[in-house]
Amino acid sequence: MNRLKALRLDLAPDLVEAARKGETALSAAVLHEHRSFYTDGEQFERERERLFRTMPLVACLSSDLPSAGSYRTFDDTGIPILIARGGDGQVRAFLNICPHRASRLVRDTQGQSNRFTCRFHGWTFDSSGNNVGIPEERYFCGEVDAQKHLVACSAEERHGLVFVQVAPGSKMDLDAHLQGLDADFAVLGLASAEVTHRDLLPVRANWKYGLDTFFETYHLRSLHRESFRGLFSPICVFYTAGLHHRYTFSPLGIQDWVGRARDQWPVDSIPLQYFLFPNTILSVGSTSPSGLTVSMHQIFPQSVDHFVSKLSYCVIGGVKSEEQRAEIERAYSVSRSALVNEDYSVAAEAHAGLAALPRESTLPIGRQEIGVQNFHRNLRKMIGTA
Amino acid sequence: MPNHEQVLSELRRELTQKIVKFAREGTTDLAPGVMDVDVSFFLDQALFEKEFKKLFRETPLVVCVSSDLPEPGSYLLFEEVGVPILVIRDKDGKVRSFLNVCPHRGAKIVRDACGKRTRFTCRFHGWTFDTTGKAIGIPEESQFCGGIDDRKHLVACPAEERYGLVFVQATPGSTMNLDAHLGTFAAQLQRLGMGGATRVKEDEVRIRSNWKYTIDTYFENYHLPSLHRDTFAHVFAHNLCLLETWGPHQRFTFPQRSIQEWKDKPESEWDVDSLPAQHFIFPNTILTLGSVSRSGSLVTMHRLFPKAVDDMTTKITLFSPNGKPSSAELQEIESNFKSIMTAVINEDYSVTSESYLGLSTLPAGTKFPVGRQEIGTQNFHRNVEAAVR
Repeated sequence: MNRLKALRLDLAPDLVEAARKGETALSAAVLHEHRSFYTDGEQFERERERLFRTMPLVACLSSDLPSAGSYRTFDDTGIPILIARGGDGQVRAFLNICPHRASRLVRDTQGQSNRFTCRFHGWTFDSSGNNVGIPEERYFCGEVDAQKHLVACSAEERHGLVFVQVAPGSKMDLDAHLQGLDADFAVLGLASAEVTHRDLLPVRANWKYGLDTFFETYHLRSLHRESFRGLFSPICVFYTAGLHHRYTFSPLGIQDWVGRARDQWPVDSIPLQYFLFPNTILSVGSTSPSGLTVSMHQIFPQSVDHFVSKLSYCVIGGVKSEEQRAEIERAYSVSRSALVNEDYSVAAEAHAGLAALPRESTLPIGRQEIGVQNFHRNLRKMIGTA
Repeated sequence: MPNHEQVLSELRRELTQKIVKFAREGTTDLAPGVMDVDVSFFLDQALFEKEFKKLFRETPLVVCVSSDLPEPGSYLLFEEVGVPILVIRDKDGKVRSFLNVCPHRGAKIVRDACGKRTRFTCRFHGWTFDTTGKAIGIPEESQFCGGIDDRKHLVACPAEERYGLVFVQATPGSTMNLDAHLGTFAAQLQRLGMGGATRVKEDEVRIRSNWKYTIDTYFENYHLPSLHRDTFAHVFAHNLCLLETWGPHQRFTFPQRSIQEWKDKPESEWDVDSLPAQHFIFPNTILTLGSVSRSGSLVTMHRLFPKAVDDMTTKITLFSPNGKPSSAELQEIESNFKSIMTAVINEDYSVTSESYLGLSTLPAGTKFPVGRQEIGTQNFHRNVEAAVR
C-alpha cells in the first residue's frame, strides 16, 4: 500500500465519524471581522513586508527545475528573483538584477543554462551566482571584487516544492515553518508530479478575500450549486498545523461507509486540502477519483485591491494513462471554471461592496467557517495586530 | 381636476406670456454682471472630491421614474455614484433602497440590472432577504449563535418617491430631507406630471471631461447660433430666454423662432403647446419638456454622473407622457431621440471633451468670463460653491 493511501486511511475515521454525526468542524464562537481587514492600505503594506518578503514562499515545484542548469524567474512578490538548479543539483535563488547597473539579468521566464549574461554590458554569472566574466574588468581597478556577484536569497527544496524567501539577507528557517505539515508532505510524493496545466488569473479584490473562499465549505450548496456541490458534502474535518492547516472533505456518499470495515472504504476519493501559510493551497484529489491529481493555487497580492492567482495542475507520479489525462482535463476545467465564475467573481463584486458599507461595519464569520477564522487570527498574529 | 395636458398647457401659457413680454421689450433674462470662473473649478481634484461627496452622496438624486418600478417586488440597480444600490418597491408599494451588499461577507446580492422578485438570495452562501431588506433565511443560522441578530439585514439608504420621480441619497444611514431640498420647486415638478411617464428610450454617453463643464452647456443658449448652427439654431430663437430659480434648482425656457411672430398677435393666436421648458433638479438632473417634439408633452431626462474629475457619463432617457406610445408616436419619438443624440454627441459633448484637454494646459489662475446672458451657468457655479463650502 502506498504512503498516500496510508495517510488517507489514517484520516478517514474522523471524517466518517463526522459524517455519521452529520457534524462539520466548528470553531468556538462567531468572529466579527472588521471590513477594513480587506480594505486598509496600511495593513496591506505590513502584510506584504511580513508575509511575502520575509517568510518562506512556494516559488515553484521541483519538477519545474528538472535538471542541472534549469532556471526560472519568480516575480510574483514584486521582487525579481532568479531560481537556478546548479551543476551540483542544488537549487539557489538570487535577485535577478545585475550588480553593475541593476538591469534585469534573465529576461525569459524559464530555460536551461549554466551561464547568465546581462545584455546591458555583458557581465556574466554562473548558476551559483558567481561572476565569471566582466568585459574590461581592469578598468574597475579591482574595486568590484566584493560586489560583482549576484545577491543571494534563501532557497531550499523540500518534498517536491521549491521554497524561497525573497528578502535578500533574511534567513529562511524552513524546518520551523513547515512544522506540523512536514510528515504529510513527505508522503504526498509531489517530487514526482507532472504539471499538465498552468494559468494566471488576475482578480480585482483583496488577496485575503480570495483565499478565504478556499477555507470554508459553507458556500458549497449556494455558490457552487452547479459545480462542486455534486462532488462533496460540506462536512469536513479541520486540523491546524501551526500557521497552516489541513482540511479533509467528505466525498458524496460517505454515509455509506458507516458500518463497513475500514479496509472497504474507498479512501482514495477523500480530497485533502493543505494550506501553506501565507498564500498556497494544495488540493490533493479534490476533483478526481484516482486521488492523485493536485491543484496548487497560489495567491499573490499586487495591491490592496488586486491579486493574481497562479494555478498549477499536476498528477502525482506523472500521467500514466489516457484515462488519467482525461481525468485531470475534467478536474481542471471544472475547478478553473468554478474559480473564475464563482469564487473570484464573488470576490471581485464584493470588493466594491465592502467599500460602500458604513465605516464601522463588521462581517460575521460563522462557527462553520473555522478555516477563515483561523487564517484571520494567524495573519493578525504575524503582522502584529493580534 | 385638470388633466395632464391642461396643466402643461397652463404652464406653457404662463411662460409664453413672460417671454412674449421680453420679445416685445427686446430684452432677455440677464445676470447683473459678468462672472469670472477660475479654470481650477473644472480641474481641482480636492474640489472634485468634496463636491462628489456632498452633491452625489449626501444630496437626493433621481434614480429612476415611478413607472420603472411598476409593481410590488419591482427592483433595479443604481450604481452610477460608485455605491452599489438596490432600489425596490416593497410588497406594500413603498419604494426602498439598500446597499446591494450581503451583510455576511460583502458579496453582491442582485446581479441583474432590473426585474421583479419578492425574495433576494445572495449566491455566495444563500442568505435571503425580503423586499423590506429583512433577512428571512440564513442557512445554518444556528452556527452564528445569535450574534448576528442586529446585523443580518440589508443596510438601508434613504429613498422616496415624489411626483413620479424616485429619489435616493446614496449614503446608508443618512437622513434625506427631500422637502427641504426641493423647496418651492416641488410645485413646478408636480406640474410636469411624471407620475404617468413611461420610459421609451435610454442611452448613455461617456466622455472625458469634467461634469460641471458639460452641464454648463445645458444652462445657456449663447452657443445656439454657433455650435448648433446646423441643428437647433433653425428651431429656436436667439438671445431670448427665461431663467427662473427656486433655490439651487432652475427652469430655463428657450422659445422657438415663431415667437417673434406672436409678439404682434393676440394671446389667443399663440401656439403655446410647442414651447420647450427645461427643469434642472440640482445637482445633476435635467428634465426637458418637449424640446424637439411636435407632440409637446414628451420629456427627456439627462442625468450627469461624474466618475472622476476628468471623466463622466450622461444617462439620457426619453419618456412618453401617458403610457406606451402608439406606433406612429413611436416613430416620431425615435426620430426625435436620434436628433437629440446627434446634437448632443457631435456638438455639445464633442466641444466639452475637446476643450477639457485644453483646460489643463492653460496657465494656473486663468479665468473664463461667463457672460450676463449665461445666467444659468452663473447660477449653477454659485450654487455648487455654496453647497461644498
